[in-house]
Amino acid sequence: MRMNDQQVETDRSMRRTQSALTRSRVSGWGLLICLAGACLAGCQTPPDVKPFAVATDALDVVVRSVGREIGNELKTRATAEDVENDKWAELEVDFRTAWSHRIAALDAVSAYAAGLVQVVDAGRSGEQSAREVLDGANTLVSSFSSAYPGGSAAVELLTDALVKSYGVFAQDYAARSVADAIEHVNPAVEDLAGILASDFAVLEQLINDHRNDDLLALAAEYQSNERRDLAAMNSIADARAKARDAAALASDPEEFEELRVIAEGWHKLYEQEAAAEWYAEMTERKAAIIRKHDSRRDAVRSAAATVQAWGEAHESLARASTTMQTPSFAVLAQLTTELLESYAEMRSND
Amino acid sequence: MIDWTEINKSSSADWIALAERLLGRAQAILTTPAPDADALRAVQKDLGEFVNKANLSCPVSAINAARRVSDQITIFLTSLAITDLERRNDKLDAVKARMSSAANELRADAASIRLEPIQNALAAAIKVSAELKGLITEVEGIPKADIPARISAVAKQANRLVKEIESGLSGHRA
Repeated sequence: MRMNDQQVETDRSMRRTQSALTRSRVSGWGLLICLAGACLAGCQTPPDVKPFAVATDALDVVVRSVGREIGNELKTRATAEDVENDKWAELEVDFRTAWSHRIAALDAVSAYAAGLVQVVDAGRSGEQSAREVLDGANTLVSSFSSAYPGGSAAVELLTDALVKSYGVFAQDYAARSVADAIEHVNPAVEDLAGILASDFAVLEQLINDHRNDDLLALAAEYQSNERRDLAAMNSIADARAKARDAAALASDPEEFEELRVIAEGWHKLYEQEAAAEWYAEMTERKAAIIRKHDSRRDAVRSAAATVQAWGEAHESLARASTTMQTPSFAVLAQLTTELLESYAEMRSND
Repeated sequence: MIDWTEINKSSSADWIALAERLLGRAQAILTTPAPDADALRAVQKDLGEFVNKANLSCPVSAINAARRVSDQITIFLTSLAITDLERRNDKLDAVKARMSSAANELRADAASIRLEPIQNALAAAIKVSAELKGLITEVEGIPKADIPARISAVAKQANRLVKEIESGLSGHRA
């Protein structure tokens, strides 16, 4: 185990040194001149980083959106007819400020992921870049001297060889650049995944707290002086329960029948209330509150699952920089899809 | 959890006593130096049950009081959640700084691999070449007295283009 660790560290150290040497040589025209010897130590190709970048963008969108939803929720409470308006307004500002740190961090991670993709793409189109440079050089040289044999077979051969060599070099350089970056930021990605996991747990609880408060406020609305519909319905239900309990205890069949009829009467009244317009309205509003909060909770849960897979995917990329194999992103891709579905559901319940 | 067998639902006094018990529990928790969030959630759950089950015997003032206390509990729990988030802000700022720096390096690497600085330098060099050619043609056709001024003007222009080349190449990561 100790030997393995030492070996890995030695490999990393060699790669870093090799990379530093390579980079020190790639300024200006030196980049083209060093082509021939650049890949003697064994060329690499960069891993596929796009699934990681796509998942990062999805997380960025959802984190931003969930934060906006919670912020708006607090704003709604601050502007409601309530004695605690100032306190809610203060909480809204505090929440948005705290959440802006998450958005800023994820924006930076998105830029990093986009950078990985840019480097990999640049590596893959290395031949084209080299061709463009050589075409430019041809134009320049021929503008000074018409004697320059731009179209000679020997020059074409040399140009093709340079372009192909650069293509290989570009892939290798891109692979090293990506590997260095991934290894360098992996602890930060781990930190962020841990922080977001904690944040999502806090948000899930907060959403649940707001859901409970909203449901209580809705019930209280139907218990107010203006409309005691719910209180009246509860009184009917209590009277029905009382009559049923009494009927169950009645030993005399005649008394039982009387109480049964009374209970039946209360039940009919209860059914009338349950079919009333106010009850349908309350039930619909209750369902809407539950839908709104549950869709937010689902989006947060989905984001929590994705962020864990996302952190693991980056760790796999870091390991891949040693093994030179692109890891499987199947789990991350699946969770990203589910995350975007949850996000769409949450938006549809706004 | 409310034990409803102990409550006479037809008695206003029982409803008031129950409300006072629940509000008292909430106040006792909220006034401790470190209020227990889970205990508050338990009270809020009971308050919800109270409001949902209240009948015409329960005074509206008791319902309103329950509503207000639930709001206070929610404010406290929200504030607790925000404090929890704020505790991690500094770490997030550090992550952001590290990731931004990595993103900038990757962008510079991508530009290097695409040979952008060299392409920019070549474009500027081609422009200088065209200017010089123009100068040669021009010098042949203008009076001798005007030549130094014209050369000086073009030299300035050439100097600017050379600087463009240099700045293009210095943008290339060493």
